[in-house]
Amino acid sequence: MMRFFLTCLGADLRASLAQPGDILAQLGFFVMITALFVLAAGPEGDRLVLIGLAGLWMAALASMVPAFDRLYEAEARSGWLDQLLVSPQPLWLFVLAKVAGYYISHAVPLLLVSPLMMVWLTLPLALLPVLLASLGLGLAGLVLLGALGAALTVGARRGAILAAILVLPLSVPLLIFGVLAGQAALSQTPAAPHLQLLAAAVLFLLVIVPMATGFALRTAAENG
Amino acid sequence: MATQTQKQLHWQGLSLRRGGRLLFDRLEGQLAAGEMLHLTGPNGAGKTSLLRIMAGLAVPDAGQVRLDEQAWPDREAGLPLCWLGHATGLLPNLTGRQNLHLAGQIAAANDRALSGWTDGDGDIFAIARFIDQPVRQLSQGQLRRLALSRLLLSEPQAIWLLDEPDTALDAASRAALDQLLARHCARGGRMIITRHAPPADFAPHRELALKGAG
Repeated sequence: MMRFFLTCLGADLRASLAQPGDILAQLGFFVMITALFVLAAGPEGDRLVLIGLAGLWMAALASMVPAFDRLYEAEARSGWLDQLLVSPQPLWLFVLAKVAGYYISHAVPLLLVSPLMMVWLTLPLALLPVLLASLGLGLAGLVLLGALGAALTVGARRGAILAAILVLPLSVPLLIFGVLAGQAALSQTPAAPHLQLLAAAVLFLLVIVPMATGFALRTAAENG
Repeated sequence: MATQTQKQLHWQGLSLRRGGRLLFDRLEGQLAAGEMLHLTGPNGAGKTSLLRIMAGLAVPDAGQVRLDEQAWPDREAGLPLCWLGHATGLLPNLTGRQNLHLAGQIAAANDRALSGWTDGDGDIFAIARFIDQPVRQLSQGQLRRLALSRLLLSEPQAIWLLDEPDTALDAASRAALDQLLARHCARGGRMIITRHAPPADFAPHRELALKGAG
């Protein structure tokens, strides 16, 4: 079972690396939204410090969500998903491998540039550990939600919009706990309770999403 | 597994409706080990839909498929199944070799490893020349030959479900395919196949004509 997981993960990462343009475009989008946010907020006083954290989270969400509908695109269109559906392999494990692969290829680069964005938003460097922890957890939850949203819209026209409309409302708890953790760190109060709530939300999704997504993928094939 | 391979695949009362149109109604049939069933019928008669039902990729409106008394398809305990539809099932960003390796891993139940592709495997579809190229760069015919090579990795007792396997194939590969089909049946495997232009000496054990009435 572990080997199937690792094989799928390896195939997914190899496929992502073969097309680095997708990752770079998303990263560029993230940087661009942050830059526009800095310009829109203006440089006066410490206004940017107060709302910069919110801006960073919005940029992260906005750059992640539009690509979700393509999560299974290659698999579905090439008929590879059908091959998986007739095989003895558990679908939930494929979904988990897909989530892990997407996290590594799309969320980790975003985490890597976020310290730079932090400087841009004039946030204090002391915020860095809490920011990385909260954004890392929040993006994990977001990718899990995206995996479910993408499965529900496989083969649908306007899948990108549909997936975004499905995913964004569900990501509200992640956003709230994530920003609260950062704000707590900014005001030098403990951030741990918020991070723990965020981790709990991610764990909940980790249990629910693979099963539900596997079911959604099978249903999509049967009606396709 | 020895007993598994002797079991009969049979179906009763299969009916399927698509968009208010009855594709087929109360279909009966069976398939024993070593047999080849040829599905015939005009375009839109439901050949692909019937194959998808056999593969467990679609659900009939009525009726059932069974392997003796066992429910079918049983992805874990049943016979291994090899599905080849219109789509090739090859991931575009991987090479042919990586795709075949992945296919072997997926088809293996309970970590019982199927060996991946090795160059000594009897390369009857002559894929060695382009096996290390990314699949997205290949022509339709080359894709089809790679997809068919997956059959070489399959176990002898497997049930093959082949939907128009000849599409885009050149003459040499067609001949190779015919040999492969005959060999699979001789070894006790079984298959359901659709072919628009079967070769003159094509001799399936059973035929099932879908009329596309409705």
